Amino acid sequence: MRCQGNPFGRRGFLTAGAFGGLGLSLPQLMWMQQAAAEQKHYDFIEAKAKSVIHIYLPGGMAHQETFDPKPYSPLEYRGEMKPIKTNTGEIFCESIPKLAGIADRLCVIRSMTHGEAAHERGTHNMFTGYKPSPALKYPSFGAVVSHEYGPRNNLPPYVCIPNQPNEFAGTGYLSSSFGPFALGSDPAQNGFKVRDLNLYNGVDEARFARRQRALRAVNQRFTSTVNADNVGAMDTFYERAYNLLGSPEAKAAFDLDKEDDKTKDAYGKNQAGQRLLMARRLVEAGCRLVTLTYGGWDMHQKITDNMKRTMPPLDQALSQLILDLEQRGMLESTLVMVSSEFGRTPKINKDAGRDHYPKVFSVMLAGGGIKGGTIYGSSNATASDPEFDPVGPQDLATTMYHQLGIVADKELMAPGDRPIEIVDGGKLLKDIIS
Amino acid sequence: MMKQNFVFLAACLSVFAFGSVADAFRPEIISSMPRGMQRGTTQKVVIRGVRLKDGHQLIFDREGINVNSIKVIDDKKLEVELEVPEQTDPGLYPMRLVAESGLSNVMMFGVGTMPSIVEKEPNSEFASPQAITTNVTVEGTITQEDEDYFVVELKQGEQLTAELEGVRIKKGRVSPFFDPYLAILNADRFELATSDDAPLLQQDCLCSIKAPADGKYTVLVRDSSFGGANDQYRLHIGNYPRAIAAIPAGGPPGEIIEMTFISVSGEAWIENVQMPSEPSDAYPLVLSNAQGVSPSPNFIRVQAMPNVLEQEPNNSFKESTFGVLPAAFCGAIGEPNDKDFFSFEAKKGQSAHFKMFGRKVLRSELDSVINVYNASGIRVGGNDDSGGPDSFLEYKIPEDGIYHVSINDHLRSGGPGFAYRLELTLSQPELTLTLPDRRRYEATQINVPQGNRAAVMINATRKRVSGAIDISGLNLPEGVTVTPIQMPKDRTTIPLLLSATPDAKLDGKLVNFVGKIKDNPIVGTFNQRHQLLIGRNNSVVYDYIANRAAVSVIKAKPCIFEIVQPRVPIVRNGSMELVVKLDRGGFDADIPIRMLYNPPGIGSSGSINIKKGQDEAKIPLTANGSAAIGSWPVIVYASVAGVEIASEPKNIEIADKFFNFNFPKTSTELGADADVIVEVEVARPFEGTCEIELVGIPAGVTCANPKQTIKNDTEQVAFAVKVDAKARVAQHKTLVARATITTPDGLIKQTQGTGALQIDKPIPAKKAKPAAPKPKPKVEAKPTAPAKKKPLSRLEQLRLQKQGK
Repeated sequence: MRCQGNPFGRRGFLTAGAFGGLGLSLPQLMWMQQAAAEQKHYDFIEAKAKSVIHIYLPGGMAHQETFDPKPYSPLEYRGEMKPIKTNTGEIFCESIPKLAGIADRLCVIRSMTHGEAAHERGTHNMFTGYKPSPALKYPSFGAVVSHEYGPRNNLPPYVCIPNQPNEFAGTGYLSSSFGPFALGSDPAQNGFKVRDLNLYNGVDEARFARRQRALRAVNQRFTSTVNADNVGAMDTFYERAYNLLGSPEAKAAFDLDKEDDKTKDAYGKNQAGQRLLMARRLVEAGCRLVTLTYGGWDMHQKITDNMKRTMPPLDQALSQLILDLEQRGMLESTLVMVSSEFGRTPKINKDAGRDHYPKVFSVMLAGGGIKGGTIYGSSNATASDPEFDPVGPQDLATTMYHQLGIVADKELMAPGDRPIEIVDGGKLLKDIIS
Repeated sequence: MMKQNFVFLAACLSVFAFGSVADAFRPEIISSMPRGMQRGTTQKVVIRGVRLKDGHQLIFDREGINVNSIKVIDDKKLEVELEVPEQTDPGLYPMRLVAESGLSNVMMFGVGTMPSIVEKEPNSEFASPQAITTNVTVEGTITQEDEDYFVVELKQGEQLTAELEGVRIKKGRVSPFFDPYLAILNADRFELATSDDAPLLQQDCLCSIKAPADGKYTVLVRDSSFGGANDQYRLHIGNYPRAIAAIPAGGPPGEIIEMTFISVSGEAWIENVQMPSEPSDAYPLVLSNAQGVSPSPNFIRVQAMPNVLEQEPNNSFKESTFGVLPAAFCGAIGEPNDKDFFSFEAKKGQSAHFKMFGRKVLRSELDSVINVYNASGIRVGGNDDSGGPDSFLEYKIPEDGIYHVSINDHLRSGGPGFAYRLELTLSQPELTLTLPDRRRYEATQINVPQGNRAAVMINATRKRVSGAIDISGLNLPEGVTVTPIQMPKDRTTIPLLLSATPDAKLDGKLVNFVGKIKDNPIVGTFNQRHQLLIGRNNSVVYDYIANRAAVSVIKAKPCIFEIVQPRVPIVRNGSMELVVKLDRGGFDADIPIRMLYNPPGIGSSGSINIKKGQDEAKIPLTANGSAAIGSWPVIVYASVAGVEIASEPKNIEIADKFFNFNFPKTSTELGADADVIVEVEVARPFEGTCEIELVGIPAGVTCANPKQTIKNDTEQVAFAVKVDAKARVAQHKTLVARATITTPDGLIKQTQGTGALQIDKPIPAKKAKPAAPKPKPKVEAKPTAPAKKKPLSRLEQLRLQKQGK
């Protein structure tokens, strides 16, 4: 997005000036050439992943009670849950037996770290790859993917299940036309129907076409006199919505009833199961990035009980998702990413829970060209610090974008004509990609 | 009061939700109708709440209200007949219900001196107020956006004072809570006086006018932000005396003190006040005159120290008012920018203890700041808010001489109501016992099951005194005894075990817990904080500090628990399982058990159940590397059908560790063998046999013999491991040595990490080196090799490799 008063960017102005014969002095020319040289150029990178399913666990999932148990530390650190062996011989917590059974398809990063112990800041980090800035709103992963690739098969490139989970899952400084399409209701509910996907009751195709024409006539006058991003974005939205409404195949992607009961049961007829199943249908149909949330993981009290209640549906649904994707031949082209805003404190607190802890936590990846059976990095003996290979949100984001064929170092134009990297300074985790 | 049922429903839900989180078994009282009574009357009062069906007794923390009868209507309603004698002081009376299932929370109940009337709708418009006479107490209710108007006729010069109890008679966690607002309006609807929060009454309100002319005057009550959800209030309207400050606010026991009182409208009058014979931290002083009695007391301090009143001018250290310590420096910050100075004499090494009472106890308008100066006027110390928001300071006197202390308001405000009382003592010891909350926001209530035991933790704060504390309980219910467990001199918390005989009467009492230190005359005081109203961000809007704890005898299933006395110690970095046995007494269901507390450095599992049909469970314990060595009385408590039952205490011994394990780094390659070395330093010799097990072995690495026996002279142990060709290339810092000493009395376990195993990819074979020895395996010691040969460290292996050996 550009400032409305200036049709040229900073660099654009330089180039225009050069060709306009303004009679630049040599130092000016040299400076200009250098500025032009600062613009980044990239080689094409092959996209291993065609789409991403981003499963976000709001509240801050405890790493100790999931992917990074510490069975030999004192009880106040290790908690009450026991470890189990995975099919690769590593150990996970007993809370995720099904995932442990397919650990050879998974990559667990045990050394995620950032310093933000507040929910909203941690969420920002894990949705954008950036620390929050008072000066700029950064776009979320989904918005960037939408910006870089656009829609496929008439389906929205970026979908949120059931709703945009937080303010940082939006478009940031990018145009709002790259925002998420939200289902608007939970797939696990009886009578679930995606909002706005069908014509309003009593409106048939012909009437809808008339309405479209009328709207276009009104809009034409409006857009010719007003030049603003959100007006354009609204047009884009309408266009995409019309395409979606007009495409039975695309609409079918949102219809969970197309799945048989057996499949639904395999995922679990619950919030986790039906959301993940919906995500699978959407990426199968052509969505590029699906973000979904499940559960409340802010377990300040009674973490054992809470974990035993919250985790089993996710364990089942997530393992089924990965096996399902594999069976359909989609795992290699679909990156599944399970993340949370932070981990939880090494020590159990007096309410038998754990509090916010961003210093070290775990993230799980699978498919999309990620090497299965990988444990990357490690936390120390009490899960209180990264021991080896710390990974920041920027590194995770860079790696995810890389798998999608997006160079994370690429600059996008932020307001004020500031070129901003998609991710600043992230390193590619080469050891986890195949 | 507007009819908005949904609002009432929402209010109930919010209150009940809090109740269910707080405790799902014990009774909870939420409100009463009416919320208070006139003294000299007997009246039926309906108490509402949850789980009230077996309520049988009401206890009040203050004397003055007699309970004639209690009738259970249903589980959510009781009808009680209360009698308030004529001599009962007006004010708020903390009330609790005793039921067969335990004690309820605390709720305030009001006592007034004036006749009560009930608010009658419609009175929500200025044009249609409820006409009342003065000198009445209105029992009213504010619904959402409700305004209640009351009109009185006054003659010119007549005083009209309105004081309201709203916040102080509520309870629970409510957001937003009812924050009342008062205004007195004239006939033209102009505000003559308004009040949102009066410092004297916390977030309740107080205002007063002197009628400028004969006519009608209207008192308005509403929520300060036009909220309200069936919130009850008591409004005292009259021409009674209402002081907002007393100077000096207290005096020595038994003395008659000349006090200056400041009224809400700023007028002063003097009265001689007889101090009670016993000391009191907050003595309720009720003022009365021919016009009436103040609806609530002014609180003063009764302490054995003389008052020193400020003598103006005292605005600089050169004009300090002198007092001999200990003393209570009393006065008021009479006007903005006022600063009062006092001086005292002290000797080197003495500890001067400045304790300000302004907002606390006195409920003065002052937000105090104190500064201490030496004889030359150089500031040597000070404090603003450590007494929250009063000032508190301990100052060690550096040399003999005169010192000065100044008092001012934090915002340099001032006025007649800015009274203070700064109690200054030298090196006085203090011992305070408190009962910490068992659950967040919920004051602990002690319910002792008949024929069984209950246990709570009790905390102590010692100041300028040390020593072990013996705790006893006075005024216990009949049949209840306290098992003495001495609090060691270096500890600030200890379990308190109470037992009841099988035939102990179902009864509730307020018990004084007294702490004593051997050979020391000091007697500890007790207090317990009840957080009555909690607002946004869990801030405590109104609390009540009780100086006694409620103890009740309750009915319970006859389950008896016993900890099996461990015969071996738990060592630092060690673990053990605490065996708990149960005599079910016919109760057959899962019973959750957990430790009442963990000694320092001990971790215990908090979700162990004695499964249905079983009569034993084990609670895993671990001790970290700095667990407190010594003998610790531990108690296990169980939840039997919602009733907490405690075990007898048993001592567990925490001992120092037996071994220090050191892990030299082990490096190897994929597909190779290696020896993981654990260096053993025997810190203290063990008896019996000891086995060391290597655990935390990474995936893809196997150890054929992970357990090895050691002796007291063992220096190191080598574990031969085999690394799979597909093992993960990384440094695995996961190795842990677990020692198990088998003694005739049991197993002692010590676990210590963390050793690292570096697994690398094999170095590609060098090309043209014909005479080169075989690439890898030769270096590693084979498992079958003689054990006596000392395994080589990675450095030694590399050295040998370099030498071509």
